[in-house]
Amino acid sequence: MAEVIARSTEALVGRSLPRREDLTLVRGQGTFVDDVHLPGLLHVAFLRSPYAHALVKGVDTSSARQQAGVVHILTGADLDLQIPTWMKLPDLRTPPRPLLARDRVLYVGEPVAAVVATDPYLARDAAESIDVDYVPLPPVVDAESALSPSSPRLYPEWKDNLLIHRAFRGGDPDGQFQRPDAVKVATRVVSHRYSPVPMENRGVVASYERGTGDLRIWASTQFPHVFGTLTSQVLGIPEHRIRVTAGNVGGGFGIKSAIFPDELVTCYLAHRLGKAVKWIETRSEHLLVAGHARQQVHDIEGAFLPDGTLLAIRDRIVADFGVYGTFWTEVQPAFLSALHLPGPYRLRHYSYDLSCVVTNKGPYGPHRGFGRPVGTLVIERLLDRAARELRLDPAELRRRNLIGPSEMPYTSIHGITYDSGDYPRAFSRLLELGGYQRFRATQEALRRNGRLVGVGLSMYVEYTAPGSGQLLKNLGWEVGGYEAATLRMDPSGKVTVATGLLSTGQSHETIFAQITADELGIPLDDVVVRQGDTSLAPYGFGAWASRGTVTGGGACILAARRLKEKLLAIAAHRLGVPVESVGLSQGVFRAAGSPRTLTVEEVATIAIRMPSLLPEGMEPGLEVTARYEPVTNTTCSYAAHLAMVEVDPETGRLSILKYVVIDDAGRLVNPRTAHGQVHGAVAHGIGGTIFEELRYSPEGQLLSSTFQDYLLPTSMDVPNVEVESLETPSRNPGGFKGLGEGGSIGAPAALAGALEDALAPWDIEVNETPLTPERVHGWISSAQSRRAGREGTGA
Amino acid sequence: MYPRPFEYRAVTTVDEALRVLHEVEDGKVLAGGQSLLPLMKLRLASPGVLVDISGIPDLSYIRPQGENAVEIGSLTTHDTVAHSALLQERCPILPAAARGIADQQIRNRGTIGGSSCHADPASDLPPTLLALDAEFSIVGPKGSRTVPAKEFFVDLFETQVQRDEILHHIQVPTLGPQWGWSYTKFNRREGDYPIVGVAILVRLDSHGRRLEEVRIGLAAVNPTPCRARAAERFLQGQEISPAILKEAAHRSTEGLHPGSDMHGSSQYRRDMVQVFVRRGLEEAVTRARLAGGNP
Repeated sequence: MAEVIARSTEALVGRSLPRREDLTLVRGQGTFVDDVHLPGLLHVAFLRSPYAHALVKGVDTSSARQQAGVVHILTGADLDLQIPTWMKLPDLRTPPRPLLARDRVLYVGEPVAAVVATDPYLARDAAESIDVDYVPLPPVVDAESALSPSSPRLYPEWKDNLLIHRAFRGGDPDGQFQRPDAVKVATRVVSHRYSPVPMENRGVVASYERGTGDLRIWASTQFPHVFGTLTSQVLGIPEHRIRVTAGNVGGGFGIKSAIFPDELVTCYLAHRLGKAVKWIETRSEHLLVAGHARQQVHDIEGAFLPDGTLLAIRDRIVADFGVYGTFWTEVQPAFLSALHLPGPYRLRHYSYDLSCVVTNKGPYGPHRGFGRPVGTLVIERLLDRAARELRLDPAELRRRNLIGPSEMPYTSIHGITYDSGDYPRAFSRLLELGGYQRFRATQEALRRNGRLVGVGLSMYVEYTAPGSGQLLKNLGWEVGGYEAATLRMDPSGKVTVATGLLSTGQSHETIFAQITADELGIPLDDVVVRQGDTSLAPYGFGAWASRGTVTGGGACILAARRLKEKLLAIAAHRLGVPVESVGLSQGVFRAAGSPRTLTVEEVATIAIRMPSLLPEGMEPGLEVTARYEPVTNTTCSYAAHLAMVEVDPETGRLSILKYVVIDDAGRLVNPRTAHGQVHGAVAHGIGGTIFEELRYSPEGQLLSSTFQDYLLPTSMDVPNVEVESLETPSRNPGGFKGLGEGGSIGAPAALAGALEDALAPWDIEVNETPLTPERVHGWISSAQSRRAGREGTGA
Repeated sequence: MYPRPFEYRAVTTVDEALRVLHEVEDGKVLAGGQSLLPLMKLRLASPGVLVDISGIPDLSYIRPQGENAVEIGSLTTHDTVAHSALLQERCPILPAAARGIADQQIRNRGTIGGSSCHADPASDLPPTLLALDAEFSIVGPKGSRTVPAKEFFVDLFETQVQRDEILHHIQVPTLGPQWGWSYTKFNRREGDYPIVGVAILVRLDSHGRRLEEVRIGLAAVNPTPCRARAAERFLQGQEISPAILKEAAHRSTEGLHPGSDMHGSSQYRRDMVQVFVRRGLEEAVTRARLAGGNP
């Protein structure tokens, strides 16, 4: 099929071509970290803290060292290394991030010792027999209580438990709240802690060759180059001696754009022992330490005009970061919750007070949507409360506040440029495709029969592919916003695209080939995409912030244009015609008015093998590297979500009847793979909103450390998701915008809204997640008792 | 996900199994492995010797025992129980409960004997076997004995089967046409352990109006699977009405001490027992009326 498509004369970009990745993966022929086997490979197991907060008085490894198969044991006493930060904000505190705990432990799961043994079972057995003398300290488990002056502190050298405090004021919110015609609506929204949970856990294989000084690393990561740079920084190994390879990666969703102590300890052990070592994370380890996110409390109030116009918002946010943020993203997820909260709605007066708090829980990491799912949940809850208060239809209230196409480009109150889009059009299409009006008409009839059905709406704007300037200026983040692609044509005219990006499911191998083949004018099959190897690809920052297609695709286009220019010059020279008259299509050069043609293969052969036939002074070879830095400071995608749910009033269990997404991510390279990402992200959002929860006991023990308790949605729980795209081009080459995270941004708000609508007869405020049956049942029971109480007193 | 060291012994006859269990200090019988192996991987269970009985050919069967009973070998898989025509005809509640266990892969491996001996209070089959008044035949060094269901489940993860014994087979009764049944469960996702599981058998009078006998087995609400005896006694001889079923549902929580976990607090489980006992009774009564020609 691919062949037929490749021979067609149509453009490749914009077509739902089959994924090139699939055959390998569905045949089980992918190479994941655990598939890497090296001679003499040793295995690492970590002993982790069973306490949320304790002093470590001693670590006795003597009996563990005697055990069968044990090669080496490392403790915090042997290793005084820290993970630094890449985000330099003057007011951001950076807690110590030791590779192994030294004198104290600060969360359950913190690595205390590492055992190297000849097989993973023996390593685990030995780790179990290490004797650690802990003196438990009172744990800090709740972020709001952590702010109290009487709370125990995680870091004795700090005067409180604050990582950072930020106050923002734009416009004059207090003045707006004082307007006589302002209707004030307040609510408290509690978002729980949950995790992206990729199918493949983290893992590292590292091998050190003493002869050359080369450290080879295979990792399950979203950013191989960054992995190499940080490893060099922390371990003091020259960066050019480090080669990082990522094969197939079984999902990232943010958490693999972080690097944790256990990964670095594994690299350290390879270097120190001069051996090959492997560490593969278990699922329980993953749930304990990786990917904690989303836990925030918002006390928010809005001022509205009686017609529903949003005047101002004031918010107080407490974000529970656990022990610390990651070196890479630190407190950014909470910043982005606040920054993205206004979404597609016109807001000129906004203030908030944000506290990022440390607690004795696992570290807060990047997670698909990156703070935005919480911001969107919070504003949509506020809008639904306002609609109820003002007796307006929630769709109508939203419509009145949407930024219109004539206002584009729109600068948000935070200075973010909403570059392009038509929010009202997406919203009205959502209502149409979702059958909103029809549903409203039948809802009453269903309610009379005791059926609790509801519809929820949400919309968000997501800045994607942020540029370098914005990252450094606003976040103090020493991270490039550009991406690079190297295009190398071989003598047969085939092209290899190498990029420092890495697909963790986003179909880069397919879409970058589509983009490159189109731009060059050669068949799709003549392009192959290579990624995930720092020795092969130009330096790249990886796949995060929904940036791959914009930055990587942009770099492919720029590189292809330059390569094509050279090819055309050679062809024109050989054909003896002016370069303007030559075109390249389907791998053949044709000149206007000339019957002669040349193939790409012929031209490539000249460029590489017969350089004396080149135009005078032209450099031989066909290899181009280009970097693309997004033109606008941001490229904003957006989407509108609609969910319809039914609640079983007796159990509180929620079923999703319908789910619709209208998505605008600019020009789509491959609609099928794009929509696949929307489906996956919506599934992620459904899981996070209804099923998944990292719940801690008051002692700081994680209660959901296996899949029996941390529930992921299954195919039975995720409905068919109807996706339709608008394609408002961005100003980037190709007109692309980012897309991969969106579904999980819109879903929590749409689901919570739908539930609140279903429970409207009880006037229940849905302001806390996850939406478990027990929580919903509790809300219904309280409402029933309230009503019974009122009736009982004749009120 | 790495179990502690253990010895593995595969046996092929019941006698060999008993001999090995007698010889070793801390042997543990492995049947389908669907409960024990996950516990071992989490290091929550660490038996010294795994005695794998799954290769004993003559413990996997379902056969009639006269007209009034069916005998099920302990190694019969959930999938086999779920699709047994004989059970479907004589004791359809059991295949219904088996069909809802976990997922197909687990039903292909998990066994009725393994599930019974593991005695997880949140499993689907034990409350069903309790409601059926099933009989459990146990073999050991001193020969064989039969234990009624009400005595079989002793405590959390503990049954009458001793360390050197194995469960040989389970006998369940043939349910006549006057019986109605239901197995309802409430869980977060398809295939999860129930938050509440309810197995119900009802026998109606010939007019389909009065409850002659009711048996209610409950999962996940006590340290062992149990019967809702107070509700059963209350319903016996009663004329069926919505109010009666509701009152029985209310009484079904008497004496229960459900634990709390991620999926449901103790109080929530008590509330859900009431919901699902009522729903289960309605379903069982409807089924009995249809079978008895009294819809």
